[in-house]
Amino acid sequence: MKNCDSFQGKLGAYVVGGLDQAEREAVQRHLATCRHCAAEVQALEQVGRMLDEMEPAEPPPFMWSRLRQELLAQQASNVRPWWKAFWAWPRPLYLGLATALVVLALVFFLPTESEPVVAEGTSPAPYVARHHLAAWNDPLHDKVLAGLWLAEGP
Amino acid sequence: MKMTSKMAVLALMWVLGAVTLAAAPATPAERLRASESAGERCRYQAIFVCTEVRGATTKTATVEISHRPNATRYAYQAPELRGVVVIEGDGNVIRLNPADQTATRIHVPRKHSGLDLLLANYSVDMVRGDKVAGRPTEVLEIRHKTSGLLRRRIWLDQEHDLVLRSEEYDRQGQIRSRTECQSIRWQPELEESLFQIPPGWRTVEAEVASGTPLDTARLAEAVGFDVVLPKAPPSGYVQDEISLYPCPCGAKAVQVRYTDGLASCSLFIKTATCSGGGRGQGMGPGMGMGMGKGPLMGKGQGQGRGRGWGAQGEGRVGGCACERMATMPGQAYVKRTARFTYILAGDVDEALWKKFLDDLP
Repeated sequence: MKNCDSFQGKLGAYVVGGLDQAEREAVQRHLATCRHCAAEVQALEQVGRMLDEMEPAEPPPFMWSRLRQELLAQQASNVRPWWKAFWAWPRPLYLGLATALVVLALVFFLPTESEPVVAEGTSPAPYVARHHLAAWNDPLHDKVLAGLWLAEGP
Repeated sequence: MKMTSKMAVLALMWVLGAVTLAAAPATPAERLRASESAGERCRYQAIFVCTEVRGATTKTATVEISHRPNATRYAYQAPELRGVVVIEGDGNVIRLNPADQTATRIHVPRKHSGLDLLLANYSVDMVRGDKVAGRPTEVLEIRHKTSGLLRRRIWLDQEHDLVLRSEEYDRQGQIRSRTECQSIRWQPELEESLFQIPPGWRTVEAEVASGTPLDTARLAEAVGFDVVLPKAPPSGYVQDEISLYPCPCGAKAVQVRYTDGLASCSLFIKTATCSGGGRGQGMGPGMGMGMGKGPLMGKGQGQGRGRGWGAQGEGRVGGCACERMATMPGQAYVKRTARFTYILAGDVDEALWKKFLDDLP
């Protein structure tokens, strides 16, 4: 049986004439001494004859396009997300990236000396109230609103 | 035709012309002029409601107004104002604060009318009639002549020319403020005490008296730095006056006022680092400064009234909170340079004032 094992994988190729001459002669010598493998060759030859007798069937016209789509989908699913590439970086690069982000945030979000401060701070309401007082006698100056600033302020 | 007949015909034509002119309706500009002096001709007691957009929030207050010629009393009803009253008369504005029974008197000299400047920059149209508080009114629309933008709409009482409703719009056409009469009584009996400081109250002559005009040389001496003004305000605006302003922090600032007749702005200039030592004048609730000296500038009474321009009521112990002054959209713009802090307050439209602000040294 151990001898058979080395020939089992070659019997199919032997039946369809796929072996070179040396291999074919070795298989023939084995078949002469092994009834089991000879029976298997006979079965394979019988299947081959049956297949030869069958009419070849035309594949459906959409088969190739569907196959192509499936292949492309499979290819796409095999692509790594872009962000996973970061995990492949050396660790010092992470530190560098974080530092750069912090510096950028400081540059963009901290006010410079010449920029207006629009976030936290003290109310300029006294200045607005003072302005309303200076404009008190302007034509159409809304004294009810101006008085409101004054009432709220000093 | 005899000479006497000709004379008679001419006289008749003159009379007819005069009558026609007298009967002609007043122009919108004339109506506006009449509204300027309406208060000198009538006496009334009214309830007004005013609403102002302040950044992301709005402020609304109900006001009881008592008026007689040359004096007006505004009694603010909002709970947070705790019954504060403002009295105008005799060239003064007086703030009565019942919390400490103090009357703060501020001199506001009556200047020449800016109506001519207003009419040079704005067109006035009478658009329709309407009713406010049950009173028939005429609606005037005031548009900027160059841009055509509607900036103000006022409802004038047909009989007394008093402004019963007023709406102010920004350059985007959004309403900035509205003041509207809810009810009004004409010719009421008004006690004179309504317009006077209650007996026994402490009277303070305010340090923030409205502008004493100064030239730049005297200003420089007073504030300790040379006052360099931008070359030109936006088109249509004129520089009205320059004066000193004692900042609540104790430092001295320069106030320069610009007006186009309807809108106006004050530019305050002070050194970037105030020398003030926390001598605040008391900003009231939520303003972040307290009354008195030193550390009282801290904490204040920030009660979270939410005005939309940043945190309040933090202050600095013994220092100057002005260094953290925040811009207040629509009402105040703050700009800092290495040497100066600029505060533009009033009708601040950043798009209109951008070049002016950029040119500040």
